[in-house]
Amino acid sequence: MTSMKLESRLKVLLAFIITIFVVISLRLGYLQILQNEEFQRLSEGNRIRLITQRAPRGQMFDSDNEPIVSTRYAYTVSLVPMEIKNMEAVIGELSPLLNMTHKDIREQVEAAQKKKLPSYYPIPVKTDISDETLVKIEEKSLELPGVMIEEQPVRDYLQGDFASHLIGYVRGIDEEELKVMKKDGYKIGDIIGKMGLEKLYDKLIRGVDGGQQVEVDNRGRPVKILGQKNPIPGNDLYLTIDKTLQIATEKSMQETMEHVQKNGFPNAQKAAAVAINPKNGKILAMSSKTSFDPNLFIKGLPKKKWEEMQGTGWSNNNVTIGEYPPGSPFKPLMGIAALEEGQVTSDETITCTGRYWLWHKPRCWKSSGHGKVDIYKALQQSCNVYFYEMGNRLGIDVISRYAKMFGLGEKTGLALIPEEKPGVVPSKEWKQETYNEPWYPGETLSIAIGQGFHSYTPLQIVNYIATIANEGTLYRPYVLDRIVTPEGKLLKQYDPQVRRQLPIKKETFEIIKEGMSRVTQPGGTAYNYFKDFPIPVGGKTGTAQNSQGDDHGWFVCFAPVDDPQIAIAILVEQGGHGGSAAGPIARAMLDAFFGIEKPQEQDISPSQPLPQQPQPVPAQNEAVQTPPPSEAIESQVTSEENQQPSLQEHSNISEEDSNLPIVGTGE
Amino acid sequence: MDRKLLKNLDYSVVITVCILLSYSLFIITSASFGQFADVYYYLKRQIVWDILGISILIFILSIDYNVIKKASRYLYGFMIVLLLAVLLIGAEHGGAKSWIDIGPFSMQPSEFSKIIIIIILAKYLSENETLIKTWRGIFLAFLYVGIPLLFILKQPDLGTALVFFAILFGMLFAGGVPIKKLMLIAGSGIAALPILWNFLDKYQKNRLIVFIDPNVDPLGAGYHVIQSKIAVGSGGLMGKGLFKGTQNLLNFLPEQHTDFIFSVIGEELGFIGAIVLLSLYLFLLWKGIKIAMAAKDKFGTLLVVGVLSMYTFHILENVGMTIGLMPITGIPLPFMSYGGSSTLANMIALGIILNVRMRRQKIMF
Repeated sequence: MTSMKLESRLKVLLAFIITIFVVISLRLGYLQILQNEEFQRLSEGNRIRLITQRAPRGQMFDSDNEPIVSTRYAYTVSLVPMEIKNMEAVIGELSPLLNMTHKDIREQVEAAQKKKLPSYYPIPVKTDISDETLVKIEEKSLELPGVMIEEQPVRDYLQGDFASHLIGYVRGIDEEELKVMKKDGYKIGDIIGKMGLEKLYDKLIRGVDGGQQVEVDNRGRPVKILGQKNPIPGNDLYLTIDKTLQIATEKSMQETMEHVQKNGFPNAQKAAAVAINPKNGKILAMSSKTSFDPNLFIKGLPKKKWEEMQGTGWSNNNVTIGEYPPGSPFKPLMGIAALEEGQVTSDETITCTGRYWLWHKPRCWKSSGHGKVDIYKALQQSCNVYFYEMGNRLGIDVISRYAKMFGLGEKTGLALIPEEKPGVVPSKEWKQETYNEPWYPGETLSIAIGQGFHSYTPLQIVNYIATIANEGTLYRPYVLDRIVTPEGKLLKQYDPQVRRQLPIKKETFEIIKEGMSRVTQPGGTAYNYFKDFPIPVGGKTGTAQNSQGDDHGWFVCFAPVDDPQIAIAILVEQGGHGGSAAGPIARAMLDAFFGIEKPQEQDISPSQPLPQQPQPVPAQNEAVQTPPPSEAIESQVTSEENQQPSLQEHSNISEEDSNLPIVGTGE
Repeated sequence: MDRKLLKNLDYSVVITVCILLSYSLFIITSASFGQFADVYYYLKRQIVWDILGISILIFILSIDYNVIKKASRYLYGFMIVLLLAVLLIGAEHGGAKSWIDIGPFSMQPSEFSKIIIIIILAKYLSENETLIKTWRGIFLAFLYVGIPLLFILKQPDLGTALVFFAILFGMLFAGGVPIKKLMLIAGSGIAALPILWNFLDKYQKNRLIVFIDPNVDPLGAGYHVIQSKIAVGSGGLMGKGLFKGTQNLLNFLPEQHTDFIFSVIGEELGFIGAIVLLSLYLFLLWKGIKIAMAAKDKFGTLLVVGVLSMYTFHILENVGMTIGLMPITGIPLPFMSYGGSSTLANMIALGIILNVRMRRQKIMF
């Protein structure tokens, strides 16, 4: 090919390019100059407007397909600044109709304008107005230019304050979220999930907004509808939550905590309760206190209420992000480790004189001692001395290994936002890394009774108890059973996931379960709460020391003992003692779960005095003291929570050990 | 860099592109209204892209384009790996899985694949002058384009696929393939369209249907065409004024900072603003053709022709779709649309043109 030929081909290319540009320019001239008037009319005189029709979010159902979160339609009154010439006058007209003060409305408008929303964007003033108000506003619509009433789907949390951290809540998208989520099709003014399942599955349950393209006249009134695109409702979530159980949990937590607060532990403000099915890892109930009613965010949260909520920890899901020492609920794990490692047999007894004989000679919670204790009695009465000795025999390395085996100090894998905390299993390496100090053998004794460096979430604890209940299968807990489209088609089914099968002998579990079942029988630390309960329950009370305030109360259990269908863990922050603070909650949950008629009021109602042995008590515990029980208890039954050694006794621990985490209490 | 080389830098092209980039910053700012409270959100990010783009441009100028020729096989392999990665770990934004997310940013490898296609074709066509006159030679050229094309269609990114064909045809034509054969290929391509129709996604079919009659689906697929034409048409001779376009501000325009940025120009700056922009582009392309003619070797000429074909098709398709001349496909307007990958790719392409011009000693010495 000659150079000339190449050049001529390039010239042809240039001619081609110029032709394209000429065609484009002619087309532009045609649209912009010849047809300009027509398009101006379309763009200004008769504006075409797209009115978004918000898609209803998918519903949520409980394990019996009962709706727990729904969507209803409500009328919202909004102001469109672009169409309002005299804002003050319109607010003046509107305020008596809406029964709101002039100032309230103006504040809302100003707050919205601070967000620099486009002026055509409606500012919601009041959601969920009555039909009566609707009629009144429509009658005066001529005097109210720019006032818009829209029927919009709004979230309806049917049970109010009900698993609120798990379910979450919805609110308008904010600027920061918009930046991240814009590429996924989110737009200004969208309502999005801000927490929990609402946030995690937002994309699946939000649906697809529809719209109406309408031609509006110069006063903004629709003249004709040009097109209609129907909104597509979101998918429905079917949860593993048991509504009846969850309601009972919320109610009992509220009542029990109020009672505990009035009886010596005013700081018992936060708590966590979680129930799980040991056969598959399905979460049956989950509640965290302090909690909130997600409906608050729907009607518009008053500023004052919002300010009150700050600092209460209302948004913390203590079940998944609260990390606590396990206290005595750790003892069954110690028992398992000792039996499995051949360090003890179920026949061996250890003599508790109220004080351990090694190291700094920590005390048992029962200063008179438990006498001869085998593993059953050790679990039943929560004897510290027995488990000090197990700790001494096993050593920290073995204890850590077993704790990790049961999923402690490790994320359980629950799909939820915010993500769960991992917790900490203390070990020699951990201590060296964290404190740059070696492990002291005396510290193993604290660990053996669940105090000291441990920190686990209630979710990990319940999963560990469930693994004892089902004799060795560690499941990944889950709360979403299936996703179903609005047409009823199954979109996704979630099945139980086994994380691991623990290499532990069946006899070991049987021994431990027998010991735990004695906790709720005569002589056990939780007998008071279960003595009239018809189904055998395996349980463990506990108290976790808290350097920040009063001790935390734990209670864990599973039932029925021979075929466990439910495992529960409850923690009441600064509730003092596990039995009194958490026991009644567990009882109420089991009543609801098994559909057992409420027994005589005085036995479980926290508004009644807690039964206890009359005995001299240390001064600082005076507030807990209530009159003697209405019915006598067998003399050997001890209500452990009243027998905690006093501070006096703490300080009696020999001086050289005073820098150690206190080991003398527990229960 | 060699001072002699710098003397050969085509400053009129550099200045034209600088004007285009500044123009784009104004329009991008205007297009941010109605989308974000922070109206400078896109502006700030685009400035970063422009600065990065200029740095890459300078880097490209510093290497002799014949070095690029030697590296072309590796670049081609790298491109295949990237496109494969998109299919495997890519992220989906707006219906197509074309992106790789890196932290807060997303990269669109298909933008860069266009450049690599240009390089590999320029090498092949310049080294096989006789072979490419045969059907076998033409088939091999199609094969070079066909492999990445399959990945791109899988995403699916129809716009980029069409750009590939524009590049291929421009370069085959300039490379000396007999015109009869080219016409035959184009003819059979058009004849095969009814068969290709069956391979299109539903939304792609919709776009073609509403191209013929937008009123078929005024709220769905036709919405964008109708609203864009209203925007441009209502702009008139002088436009409604910068930051004053109601179609833009009221969000009637879709993606007004990227794919529909020309509609904002048409609405706010009118026919005059649009013609100014088109004149800048035409000047750039005319200078490009002159650089192609003056290049010291066939490889250089073909590189420039490839880039020019790419620019031309982007302009034709992007502007064309906003005024109802072309069906809608999402490809950006060079130097105007907001976007990191496209800005960087366009600056690399510009660097290639300037590079060929700087090293055209054949004529200078």
